[in-house]
Amino acid sequence: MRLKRLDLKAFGPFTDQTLEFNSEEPGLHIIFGPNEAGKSSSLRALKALLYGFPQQTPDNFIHNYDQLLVGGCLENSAGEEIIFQRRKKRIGDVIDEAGNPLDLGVLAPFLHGVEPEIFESLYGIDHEILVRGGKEILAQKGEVGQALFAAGAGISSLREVIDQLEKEAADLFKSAGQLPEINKAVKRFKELQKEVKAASLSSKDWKDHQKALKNAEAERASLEKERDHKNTESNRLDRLKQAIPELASLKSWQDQLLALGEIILLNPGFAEMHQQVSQQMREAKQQLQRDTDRQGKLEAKRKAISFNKELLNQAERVDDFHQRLGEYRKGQKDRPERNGMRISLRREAARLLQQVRPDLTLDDVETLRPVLVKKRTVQTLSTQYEATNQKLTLSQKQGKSAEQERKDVEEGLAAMPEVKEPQSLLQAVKLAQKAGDVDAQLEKSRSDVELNKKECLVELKRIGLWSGDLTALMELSLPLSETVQQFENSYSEIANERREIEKDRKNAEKELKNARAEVKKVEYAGEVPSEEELAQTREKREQGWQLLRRQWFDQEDVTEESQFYDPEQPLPESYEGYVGQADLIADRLRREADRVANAAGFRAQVETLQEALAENGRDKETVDLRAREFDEAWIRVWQPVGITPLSPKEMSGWLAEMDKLRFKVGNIFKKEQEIGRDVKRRKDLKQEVQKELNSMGEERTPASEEIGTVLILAETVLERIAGQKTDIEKLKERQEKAEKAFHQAKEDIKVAQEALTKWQEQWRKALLGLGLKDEVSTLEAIDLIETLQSCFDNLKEADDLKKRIDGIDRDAVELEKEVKALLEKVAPDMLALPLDQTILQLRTMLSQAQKDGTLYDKLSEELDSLQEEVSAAEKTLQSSNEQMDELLRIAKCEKSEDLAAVIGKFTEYQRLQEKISDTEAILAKIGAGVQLEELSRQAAEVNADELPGLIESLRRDIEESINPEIKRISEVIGEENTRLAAMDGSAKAAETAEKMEQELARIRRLSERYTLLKLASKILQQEIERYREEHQDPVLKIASGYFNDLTMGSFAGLRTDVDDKGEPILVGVRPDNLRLTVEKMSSGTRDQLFLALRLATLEWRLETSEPMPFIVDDILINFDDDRSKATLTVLADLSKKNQVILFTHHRQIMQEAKSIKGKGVIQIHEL
Amino acid sequence: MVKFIHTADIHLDSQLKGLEAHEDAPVDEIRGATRRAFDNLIDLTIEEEVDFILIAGDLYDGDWKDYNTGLFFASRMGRLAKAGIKVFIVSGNHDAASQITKAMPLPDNVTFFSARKPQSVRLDDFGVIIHGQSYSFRAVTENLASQYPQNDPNYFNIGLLHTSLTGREGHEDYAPCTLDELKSKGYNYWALGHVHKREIVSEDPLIVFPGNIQGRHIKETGAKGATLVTVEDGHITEVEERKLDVLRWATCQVDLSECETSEMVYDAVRQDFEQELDQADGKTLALRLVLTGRCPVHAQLLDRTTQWTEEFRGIAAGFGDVWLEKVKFQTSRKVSLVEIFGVDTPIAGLLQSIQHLELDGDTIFGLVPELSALKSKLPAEIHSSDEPFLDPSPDKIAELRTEVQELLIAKLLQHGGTR
Repeated sequence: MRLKRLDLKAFGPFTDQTLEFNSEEPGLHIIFGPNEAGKSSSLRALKALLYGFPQQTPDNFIHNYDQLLVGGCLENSAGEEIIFQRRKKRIGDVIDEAGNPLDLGVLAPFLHGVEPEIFESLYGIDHEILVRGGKEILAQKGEVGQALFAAGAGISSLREVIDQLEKEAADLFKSAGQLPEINKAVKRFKELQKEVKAASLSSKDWKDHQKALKNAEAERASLEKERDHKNTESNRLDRLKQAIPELASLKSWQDQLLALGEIILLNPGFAEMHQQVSQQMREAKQQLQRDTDRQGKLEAKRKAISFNKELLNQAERVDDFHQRLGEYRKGQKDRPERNGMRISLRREAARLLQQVRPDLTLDDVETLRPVLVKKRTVQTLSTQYEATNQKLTLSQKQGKSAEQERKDVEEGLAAMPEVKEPQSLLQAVKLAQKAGDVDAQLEKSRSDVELNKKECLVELKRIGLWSGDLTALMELSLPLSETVQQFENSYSEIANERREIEKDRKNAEKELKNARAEVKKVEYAGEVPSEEELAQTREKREQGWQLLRRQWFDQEDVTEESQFYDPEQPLPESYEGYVGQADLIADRLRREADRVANAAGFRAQVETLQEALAENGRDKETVDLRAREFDEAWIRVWQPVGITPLSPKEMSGWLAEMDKLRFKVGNIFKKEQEIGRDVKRRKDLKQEVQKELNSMGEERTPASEEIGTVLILAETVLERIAGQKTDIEKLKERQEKAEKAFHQAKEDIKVAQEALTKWQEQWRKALLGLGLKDEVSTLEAIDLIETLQSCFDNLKEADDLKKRIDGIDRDAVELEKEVKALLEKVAPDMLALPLDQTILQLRTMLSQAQKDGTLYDKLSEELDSLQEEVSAAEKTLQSSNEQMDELLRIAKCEKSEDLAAVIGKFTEYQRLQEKISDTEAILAKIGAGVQLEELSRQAAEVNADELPGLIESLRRDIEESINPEIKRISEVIGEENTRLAAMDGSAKAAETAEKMEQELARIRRLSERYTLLKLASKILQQEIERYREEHQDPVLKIASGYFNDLTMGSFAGLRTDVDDKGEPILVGVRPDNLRLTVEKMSSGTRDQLFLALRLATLEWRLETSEPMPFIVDDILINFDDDRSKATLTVLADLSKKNQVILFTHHRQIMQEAKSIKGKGVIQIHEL
Repeated sequence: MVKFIHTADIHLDSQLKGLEAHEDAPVDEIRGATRRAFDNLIDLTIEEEVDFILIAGDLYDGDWKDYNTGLFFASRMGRLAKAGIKVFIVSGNHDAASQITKAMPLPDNVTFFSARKPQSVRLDDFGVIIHGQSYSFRAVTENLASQYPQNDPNYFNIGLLHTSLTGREGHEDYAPCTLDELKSKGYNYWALGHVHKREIVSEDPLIVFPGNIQGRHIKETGAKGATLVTVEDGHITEVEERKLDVLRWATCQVDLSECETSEMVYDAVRQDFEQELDQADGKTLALRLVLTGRCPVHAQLLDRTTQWTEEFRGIAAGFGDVWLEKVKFQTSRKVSLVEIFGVDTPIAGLLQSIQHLELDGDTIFGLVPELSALKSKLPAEIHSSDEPFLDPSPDKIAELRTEVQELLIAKLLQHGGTR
């Protein structure tokens, strides 16, 4: 495939730009563009055309994504071409020239299924790839296989691919490693396996433990039984051991009780009762004696106390006096001080009055009190005075300024010029303006008309056949289009018929030729037997038979006739000959029936066709005649126009175009008339405006034909007048305002003066009561009132002090009176004492009287309670005696002295009873349910001395042998129970096994991946080797030539060699046969080596595959001038077979390319 | 009215296969799946107040030796005993191989059919007679059904049997017998086991494989459960399938033909995941993702399968209860490789070599000796499962060949000089 054209319709910096690659050979095409010219864009456009737009492209800086469009023409080796366009769309991006979507399949015969990646890797090379490829070759030390494979596949970093595969594999698994993922996973798997084993429970284990548990439980049960038995016996013996001494004691107590004899049974508390009663009697007697002694002593003490009772009754009053005494003393002390203060206040008041009214004394001062009431009024008026006065001054000032303004305005008005009324001028101007920009319109119309006329003339010339001016054109009488249409129909009818006839003729001739050929074919294949032939032969045979029959049956002589029948041979032979012949023909007719029929058919066909051809000839003549008649008629139609017509179809087109043109010309004429009208109108408008201007006194009007200048002048005049008018209006407004202000000021002055008069009246009234002789200012008046106020305040304070002094005096007299009255009652001897001493003395006396009273009351109380105690003691004594008598009666004694013996005997009886009962209780306890009799019986049976030994032996048996064994077995049971409890159906093993399974899945995935990677790596390496072996020679041979060319003979070529390890490597060969390994080559040379390999594989590939354009993107950057020229030469050479498109932004390269001679076609495309 | 549940192939405590643990995988949701499914069965039995359960073999997994599994089973049988529900079991090939079966004492409500000869148990309360025979050893190849007694016309007859019938794909042939043979016994219901996929083999009489109650690997997809049967007056009036599984297996095939960017791939995969989830009855899903279609992103996919797989796992994890079992990259490029590379380019040669590569048997070890080392290190279990490692079957070899080829093409095109 080759690219024939690239249309950069809308892409990157391009709009509708085309690169033509239309050389005869595929050619080397150098696309040159300096930086920014769009070299990269056009490279991308080429890829986009072939493979569609990538999702993102930087080429949308002028055209939006949805506008991007590239087109082109491709040609494949079969000579087919396709023209198509590509837009940026996901689906339906391939479209034809008209924009209709194309199926993607249409590109298949051109792209040969080469995918974009493949295209780029096999058919694209840029500087970066070149350098990388060169380095790669070095890194592999020129290892031939990889170098060839990489170059052949268009892959520069093959080693990288193998390294990647191997690295990923090594990360997965190493035979002796710990860290790779599979190794780790396997380790984890094995750990889990162990865990599962540990967590698993085998069925045998479970059964064993179950059995062990049962056995242990049975054994423990039997041991426990034995222990119980021994415990019982040991307990029994122990009981007897304890019971034997108790039984002996019981016997002894019972004997003592018997020895006591008869007993008087007493109540249980009898002895205590006896003791209690005796005690009571003793205590009652002692109490009586103590109380009588104390009574005597207290009586004597009470008699010794005496006190002042009257004073005690007046205790409250004495306290009251004492309290009032403080107040009395303070009053006596304050009185002189207050009197002094009162006198000084009055003196101050008199001084203040003197300031206000020196003519008055304090006694007359009350007459001035009403003035104080007006204090507030005076203050208010004082403030008002300021405001009223200010208002008056302001009004006077305003009046003056208003008057000045009025004068100024009048002067201004007088200075204004007179203004004319512009109404009619304005109207004229507006009218002219309403017509629009008449000048420009007219100018445009005129030039349009001129232009159109010119166009029409050109058009007329183009249409041809007729010539003349436009006016003549309009007057020209043309045939009707219907007429022409009729002729056209007839013309095409005739042509059609002709074609039909011609076609029929050709067909008939072709068929005739075929039929004849067929006939010939049949005839060449041998003579064809016919029915006639058979009939003839049979006739002949029949004749022979008749002759023979006549000769044979009728004995006739038929010699003559038979001579005639067949002069050559005798009759029988001849007859036999005919019989055989007839049979043969009949046989052949039957055998070759198809052939016969065919031959007949073809012959008939030949005849029919010949007839048809004759008919056809006649038809042709008729049509020719009609055609001639038609032509004459057609020419006649056009005679009036004076032209010789072309075919009706062409004339129909001509006519249409003439019509169109005539319509256009008609419009132009119309337009010209309009222009005439407009010119007149403009003149009228202009005159009107000029007239008005003149009437406004504007004499200098422009003389030109155009209206514009006049209008501008008119507008200037109108603006000026409007300005003057505004000025006058402004002045008048000011005048009005000044007048108004003047009047307002006058009014304000009057009001202010009236307010002042009214204030003065009020002021006078307010100060009336003060009785002033002279006028005072507002501030002075307020001062006087303040002074008067102070005077009154001082007087009031003095009065208050007077009232206090009077109060003190009154209180003192009252107190003295009351004290005297009391003294007369309780202590007349103290009347002579001063008042404060008296009160203090009274208080002391009262205190003493109160103390004595309290002591007396206390003694009386004590005596009363003593009397009560004496009566109680007497009563107790009485009751005790009665109780003692009752006790004697119960004990059957006469005297209380006998009671002790009776009580003693009874107490001993009680003690013995108690002992017996206690011992029996102990025995019952020891017997633990065994009856006393049974116990005695068992005790009698045993030897008490042997008991401890027997018991000890039993105990030892239990403690030392049975119990430890039970303990041991219990532990076993516990252990087994714990074990079995742990076997609880837990899912631990199953869950761990699940984890194992998960790890296994991981191992599987990783192992599969590992296998894949290793296989891939191995196969790739093998393939490299195989490719080398297979292609080394031819490709290397081609590459060798290229390398020679590219290095300009610096190297004679390439060879293979082996390195130290025996691996095949590539070496360059100098012309002197010196071999140079790749390490020793310069980096540029290595780049050329890589390029040589790439070109060689490309060329090698050409032998088997369809060519594709080889896209070279600026690979010459690092080549020196000579080598880049050499490279260009090589590419040009290649381009004879395979299109090469080279992008560059070095002008140098373009020039070098131009200088290459005789090497394929080189086209330069500048962007 | 009599109600019973028919189940089989419980494989208690057997493991789920092929689920690789990774971060975000719903590990807790799948833990002890067979136990939890079995608990669901017990719950269903008690809730539905059924009269008895039939277990048609393979209660335990043959290789599994932990007696705890038996104890767990016994405890659940204890629950049923308390609820007064009887249990009838025949053993299958797996149970016959299991140590647990032999050692386990079971409560009185459980009847374990004899392996010596067919045994018939009459349940006079329900008018039901159950015929059954256990496996005495693993590979029973004789026809057990033929020895089963003829029906007792006074009862509702049930046959309990672990069999592969005349053969079922993916299941070994044990106790073979024909459908006609079963029908000829005149039973009302044949409760079969062995085949893990639910199947109603015959409508009259009803012959049913209930399938297993929990899928255990990717081949056992779809809902799993037991069959609940209601019998009235000696006639079956209702047969229901009840889902019991806790984890659902599914294969999710995504066509990427229209996908041009990785985002579009993710979207397509996400959408299909959602669809699968919608159909999973709210269960945790174990998903196998199979990517297909001739698509533009083919090379990108093949170049970095590990990273893509991680991304897909991330998407699965985003749904919370999806476990991505495996991703199969089965997409193809738009044009065939031979068409692209012609015949005499190195890559074309490479492709041919791959196609002619023999990978079966020991050849592969000869080609890549490292694989022998790997094989010897791997645990034995990797070889014994359903999908043995380095499977020498022709299909697998073809698959491997394609994978190698695609990996190489992807690597060469993505990392060769043009990028």
